[in-house]
Amino acid sequence: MKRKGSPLENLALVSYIGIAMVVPILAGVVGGRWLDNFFGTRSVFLLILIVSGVIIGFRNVFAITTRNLPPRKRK
Amino acid sequence: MQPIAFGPRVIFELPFLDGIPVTETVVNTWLIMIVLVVLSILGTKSFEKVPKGRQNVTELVVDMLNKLTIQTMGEDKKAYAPYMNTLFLLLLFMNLLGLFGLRPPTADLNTTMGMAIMTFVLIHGSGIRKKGVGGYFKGFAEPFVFMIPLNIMGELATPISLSFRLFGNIVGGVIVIALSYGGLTALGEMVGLSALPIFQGAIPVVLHAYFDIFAGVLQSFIFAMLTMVFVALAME
Repeated sequence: MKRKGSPLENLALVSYIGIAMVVPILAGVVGGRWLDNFFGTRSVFLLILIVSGVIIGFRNVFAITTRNLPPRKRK
Repeated sequence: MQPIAFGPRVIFELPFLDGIPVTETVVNTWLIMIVLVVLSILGTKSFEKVPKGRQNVTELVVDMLNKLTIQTMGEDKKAYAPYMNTLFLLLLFMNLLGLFGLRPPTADLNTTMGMAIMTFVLIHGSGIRKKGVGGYFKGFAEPFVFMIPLNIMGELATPISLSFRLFGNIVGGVIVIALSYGGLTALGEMVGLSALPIFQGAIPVVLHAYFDIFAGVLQSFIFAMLTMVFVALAME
């Protein structure tokens, strides 16, 4: 069963898009710095976690914005 | 001039385990709980077939919130309506507490994070209940198997963004309003109006209207709405 969603529902989701993209990236920065400090490396973990944070953030945005499309059209 | 502290004050300490500090947050939350429980008892007392007065108001509120849940989550998930209604009303009362000169409990990350963790557990609990453990965890391996860690991390971002958004909006309002009261009091003393609080009596009304009423109602609505959407999404 697919619902189109009310305007209010979509408004709440739109306000979520921005923060859903930023949070994983910031978490990657904080976590990467912490891991670098912990293991004494220079910025290996920082780089890895920032890149994965960006991917996760984009995946979040993708998942939110395509959730009302039928699965066939998502590709 | 004394410095303005923005953290919740400690009201009293529980006298065991070296004194557990009980902050404004907890005291005000209990206050709201008492108000909500009393309102529920008063509102649902002695129902009649033809509603009038008090019963009309209760039915209006409950019916409106039930319809919102059904519209957002679908007719088949009507059973979630009581939880969502409670969540919305609790957040609404918490955010509007600033109007009474008390500190909103949502201006404390502990409150919002606790509520976001409840939402998180509800999302994944409903998903597991609907799809079964195997089917639920298979959802993490979509579209590719190597997406598993990324999908799990993406799910962990949900409670963080929910709680930080609510906390940030409310605590920002608390700080701006406290600063404006402090500044306007000083301004009044400067022009010799210390006995007559004209500035701090009139100007913060605008700030209260925006930060407490507009942002408060909007944020509690968004929190409840996103909880509904995510729970419905996890069960599809």
